[in-house]
Amino acid sequence: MLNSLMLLALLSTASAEDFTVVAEDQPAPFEGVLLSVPAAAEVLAKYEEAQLKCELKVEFQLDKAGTQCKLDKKLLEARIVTLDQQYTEIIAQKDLVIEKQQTIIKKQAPQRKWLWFAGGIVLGGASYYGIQQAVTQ
Amino acid sequence: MKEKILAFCLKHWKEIGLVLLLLVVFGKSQYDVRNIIKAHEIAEQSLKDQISTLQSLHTEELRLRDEALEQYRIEIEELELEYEARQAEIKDLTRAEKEVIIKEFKQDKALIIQRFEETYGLRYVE
Repeated sequence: MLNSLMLLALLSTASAEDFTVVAEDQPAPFEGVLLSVPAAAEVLAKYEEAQLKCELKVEFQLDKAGTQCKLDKKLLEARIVTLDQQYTEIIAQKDLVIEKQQTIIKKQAPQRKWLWFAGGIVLGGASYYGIQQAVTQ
Repeated sequence: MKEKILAFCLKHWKEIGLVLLLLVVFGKSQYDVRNIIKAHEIAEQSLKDQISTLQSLHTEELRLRDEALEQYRIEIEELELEYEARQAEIKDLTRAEKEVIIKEFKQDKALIIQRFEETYGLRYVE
């Protein structure tokens, strides 16, 4: 009877975060869950395991992200190098085309413009004279 | 003979003039067309060179890309292997820890009490 009363008293004073260790056949001081030693060891060890696993997972995800970042960087670098070379090549080719076409244009016009001008005057005058003669005859 | 030619020329000078004019126009247009063709050929050659260079640049880029992807695959594989190995290591550690705790309980119950207090912040009640 006295034991029961003491147990009841303990039950009423036991808070939500209390625990105790009892030997076999010993009455529990308050209502709760009794774990075997291996189960208690499991609870304690699992806590540490969860912590280690969490740290490992974070480390793994960070390493994976780092590797992904490295890959993205390499791909971008390759793209930049290619675009840079493309740009240089296209500009060089365009310059070459412009230079060659300028040579063709210059060969045709600028140096001989007075010759073409004089030729035009002569040809125009001759045509005019010819037409006039043809009309008057 | 000369007189005949001169007489012919004088008689048909308009036709001769027209033919000469046409020949000049034809010659000039041929010259212009040749120049246009030449300019076109230059542009065509330039474009061919550009295509060839771009193709080689593209091939090089693909090679670099494949190389980077292969490196990435290897690194990820290594990371996953390491991750699995360390997970197994943690499991072994937990098993060993459990055995230590059980052993400790048999030797000194205060140690398990201390562990519960430190791990979960629980209060021990006698």
